[in-house]
Amino acid sequence: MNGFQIFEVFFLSGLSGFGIVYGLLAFRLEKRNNLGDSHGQAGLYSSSVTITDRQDKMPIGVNLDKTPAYQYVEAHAPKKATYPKAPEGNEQVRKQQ
Amino acid sequence: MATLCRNCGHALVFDPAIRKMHCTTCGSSFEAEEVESAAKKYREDERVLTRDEVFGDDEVVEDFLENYIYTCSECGGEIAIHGSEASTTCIYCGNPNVVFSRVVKGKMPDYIIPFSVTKEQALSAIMQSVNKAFLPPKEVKKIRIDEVRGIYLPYWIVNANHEEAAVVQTTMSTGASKYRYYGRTGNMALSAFPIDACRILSDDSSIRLEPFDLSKMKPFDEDYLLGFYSNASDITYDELNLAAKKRAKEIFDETIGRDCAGKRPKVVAEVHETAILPNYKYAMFPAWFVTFQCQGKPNTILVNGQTGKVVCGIPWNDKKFWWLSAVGGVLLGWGLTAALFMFNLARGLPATGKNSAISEAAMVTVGFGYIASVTIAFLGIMKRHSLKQQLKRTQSGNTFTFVKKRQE
Repeated sequence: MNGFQIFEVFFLSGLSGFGIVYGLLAFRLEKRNNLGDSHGQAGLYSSSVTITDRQDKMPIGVNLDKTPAYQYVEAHAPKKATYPKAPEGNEQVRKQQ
Repeated sequence: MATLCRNCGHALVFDPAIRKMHCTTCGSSFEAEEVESAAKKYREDERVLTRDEVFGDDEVVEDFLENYIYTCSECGGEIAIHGSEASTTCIYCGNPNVVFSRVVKGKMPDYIIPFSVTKEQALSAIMQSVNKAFLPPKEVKKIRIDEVRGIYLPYWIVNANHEEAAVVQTTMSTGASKYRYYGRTGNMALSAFPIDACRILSDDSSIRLEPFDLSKMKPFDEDYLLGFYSNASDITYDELNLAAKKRAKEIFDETIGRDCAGKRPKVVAEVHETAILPNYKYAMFPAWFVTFQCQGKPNTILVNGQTGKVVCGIPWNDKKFWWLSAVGGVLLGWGLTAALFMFNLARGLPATGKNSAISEAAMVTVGFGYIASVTIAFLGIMKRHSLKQQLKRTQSGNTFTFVKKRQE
């Protein structure tokens, strides 16, 4: 091994070490300095989910526009709600009387 | 005429430590439901005046936050308040004031979660977190709290129905194909879901204050507002519907993602419909806002006034971070190479040449070390990015303004 190769080894090993230490320090920084960065997950709210249709392992092509995925969502698209619901529009929200 | 102490006649404020109305003069305490402001029945219809009406300004005031004048019920002083402020403190006499016209009759909230975390507890939680921070700049350690504000935030508690048809992509660790796709259709009934109703405070910030324990909600009584600031709802129906759609979709997508095999589920195609039912309720939830200056920027820390959850990104000394990474990394790489070299020498390998101690050491630190380095560094970059996003929210000008514009 000549001098250049030895230099190369130390340079590259230093670079590898830098990447590892950078990543570990970033983990520590995020853990200590990022407080409360989470919001209510599904389990915290009262939600009742019913799955009415499943299609597993769909054959998907490269272009989603012409694949079963697009056809699936089109075929199963929900209809607009016809029951009473909250108003829409640019007026300020007010309590229902 | 604020809500007065029956024993000494001074103004009462709500004390989160004892969860009662408290007189700071004689020390008496009362349940909020036992007392009522004598001013309420006289001031329910008292209109908040615009600056134009009071000062006859021809100049158009662009600042939404200081557009209204309210008269203090105690001293008659004119208090500047903004478009949705519902309670404040008079800058002249220091007495708490409720803007009754914004919280009575048709605008009266249905519920309130009173403060149960005191100002001192909130500050203590913040300082504990700040003292544990990694590589904080010197200014953070000597943090000088500029302002501490207890603010009741308006929320709409909604029930909603959500229907969606989606295709979920997951990543497979084995098998011929990296990705798998699953079609899922379903519906979800969401009950008692809180939606932030304050336009100025970003949803990104208010969402992180959650969760609130809704079982602790009490019927609204404006006496709980005394001693704190508060905002009335100022969002439109479209904004409420949009916020509900977004949150409902997040919850539904999370649920169907767990229903699919594979890792890192991601919705790649979907159609959904969300409808808020008309029985929504109006509530106020507590939060402490603490502002300080650091590195020339304003920072605002939020603390959930019920649970004490602290929300903020603490600034760090970036120069030190890079120096530590560079110096520590080089020492690690060289140290490992040298240690492996010595180990290989001890095994009887020649120092240089083919299959030598140095070449074997290089294979580990350069070869395997490179793979580990790229992976860990990539994950580190994502962590830093997430922290930077949180810091951006902490240093948001809008949030800072939301707090600073309260008069004291």
